[in-house]
Amino acid sequence: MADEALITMEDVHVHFPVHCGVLRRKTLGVVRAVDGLSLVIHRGETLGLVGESGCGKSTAGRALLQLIRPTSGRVFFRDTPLTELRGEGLRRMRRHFQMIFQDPYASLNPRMTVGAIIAEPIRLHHVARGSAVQSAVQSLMQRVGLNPRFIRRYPHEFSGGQRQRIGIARALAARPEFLVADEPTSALDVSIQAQILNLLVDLRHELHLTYLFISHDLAAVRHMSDRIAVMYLGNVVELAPAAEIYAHPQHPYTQALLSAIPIPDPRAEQQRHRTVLHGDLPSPLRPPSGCPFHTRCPVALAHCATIAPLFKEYAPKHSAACHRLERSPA
Amino acid sequence: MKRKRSRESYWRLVWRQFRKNRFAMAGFVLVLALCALAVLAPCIAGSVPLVAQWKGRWIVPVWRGLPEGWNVAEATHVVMPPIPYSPTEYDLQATLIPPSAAHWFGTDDQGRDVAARLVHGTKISLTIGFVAVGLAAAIGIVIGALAGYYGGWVDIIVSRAIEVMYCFPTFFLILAVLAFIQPSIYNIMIVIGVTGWPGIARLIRGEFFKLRDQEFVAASRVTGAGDLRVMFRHMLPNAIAPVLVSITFGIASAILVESGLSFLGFGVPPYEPSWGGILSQSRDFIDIAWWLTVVPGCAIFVTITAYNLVGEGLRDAIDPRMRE
Repeated sequence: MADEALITMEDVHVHFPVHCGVLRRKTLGVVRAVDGLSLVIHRGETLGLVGESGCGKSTAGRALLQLIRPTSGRVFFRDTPLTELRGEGLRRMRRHFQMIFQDPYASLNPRMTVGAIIAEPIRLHHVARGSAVQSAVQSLMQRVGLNPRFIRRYPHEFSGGQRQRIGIARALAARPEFLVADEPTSALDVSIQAQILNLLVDLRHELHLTYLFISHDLAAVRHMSDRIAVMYLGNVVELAPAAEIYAHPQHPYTQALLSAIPIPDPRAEQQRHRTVLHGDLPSPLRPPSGCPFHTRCPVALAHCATIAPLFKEYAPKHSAACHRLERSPA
Repeated sequence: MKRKRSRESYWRLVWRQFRKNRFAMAGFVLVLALCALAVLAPCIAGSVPLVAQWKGRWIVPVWRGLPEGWNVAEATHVVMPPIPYSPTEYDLQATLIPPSAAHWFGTDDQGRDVAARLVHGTKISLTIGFVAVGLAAAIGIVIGALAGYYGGWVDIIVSRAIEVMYCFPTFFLILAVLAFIQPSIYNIMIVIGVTGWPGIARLIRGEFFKLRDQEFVAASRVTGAGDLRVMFRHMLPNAIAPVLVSITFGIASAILVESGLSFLGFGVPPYEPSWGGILSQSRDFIDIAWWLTVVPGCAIFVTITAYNLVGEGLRDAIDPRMRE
């Protein structure tokens, strides 16, 4: 696989101002949901994006798709700067990148039939015309494992797993190259999750898709991803190939995350060393100075509180942002 | 997050819930009957025969108009409408006749049959109700959708405009406007329509605020739908239910406003048989001709009540908390 960049995010910031007062609106501050994120997604790979709730991983996915316009920074699809497109131009580009949503209940319009939901991107992007639309919808339904006979039914007549399949069919309808999957299984029953993940893997190979797979389920991310990016407070703290990051996590936050995965062997579970984090995720309204992780870091140094560490490659294809690594390169 | 899997569509569910409410159903049947009365008015009250045989052939004058050279004396098998009087024809020999077999609801001071005027007045009242509220709904939905979807300064401007409109007592605003323009049926419909939008706009704005952050709205944007498509294809069908309730009440209040205007003499021209107009003309005879005020008064009362019952039934039927 040639490392051809499909998506490039350059220093993307997404800040939400927090106001108070009704008449004289005062800005209390800004929530830095995404704070200077840079990321390259190669064609054909699946990049896993993990982090705890509120770290900005969903916002990053939405900023990538221009669903939320980034406050600053640039996003490229191949060579097209999406952040500089607006209106019609951006709408036309949207056929190349689609999204699978977290909540299969909220993400389907309750007043539209399954057929209308899946047909919409086909019509909007002129993928097919006239009677070909209907057959395209039916073959998509078949492809994601839905009975094409249900084309006239409404979303509420389906189970969560089936609804997520409808969402996937909609995302594929415009024949995109790139998909953002925003926690596509976290709202589903455990028994259904594996089915949906396997469907995504199959589709990826069959249609040569590229994924940004956002999740807090580390097992699912490992199953899905080629490379994994770990996010903390609006930025990536570690990025490495999946096997490498699980075998040799460099950043103390990644180490803590991985040690939270239970091992299905009681003896091994008892013997291993667990890194337990204390305290909550700091408010992104007032991110800590220096290294954003220093408030919870078990191995923080004195200067971690004042100087932000640089995100650097410490091993081949393995980057992280930590002062500890500076001292003893891995 | 388990939801009941039913094969029913939303509106079928609403209809089933609505049907359980006896008062609402009564109101609904009454509204349908009034609509039928309005549409069939010329067949129910008029001085033109429904069918007749004339010069050896069957004619339907109520449909085609009277043929040239028509003479009742020459015709046979004349079938008149149940109320064989035209709403505008006056007979000065038969003024202020109390209700009787010939004139069910009596006659007015110019000898016009009140029943005939009432039946034809239904058409005017209902048309004004529907058209005025239709206009108000069209304006309100568009303005409310824009405010709710875009928010920000669009919303600030719209919200202030709504508040300004609310500050005016609508009835007096309409009176003032009608002082400048010709009070015809169409102008009254337009004036009631363009002053009636703020309530609907506010409802839609609120619904759109609720829907704006829903995932399916984001999903439609991701697929590449434009703003107008997102607003009117995706959000509006999910926001329209409470507006229907408001529209039903709006029709009732538009009918009331028209009656009030006509009563004050600012309404439709006197020869048009509107309910408010009949009331207005009967003011001078209230102590000698009770039927002139009671009959149109009851008609207005019954119609408003019917619409309000439908509105309340609809409101309860779309409320998910009312379902068991």
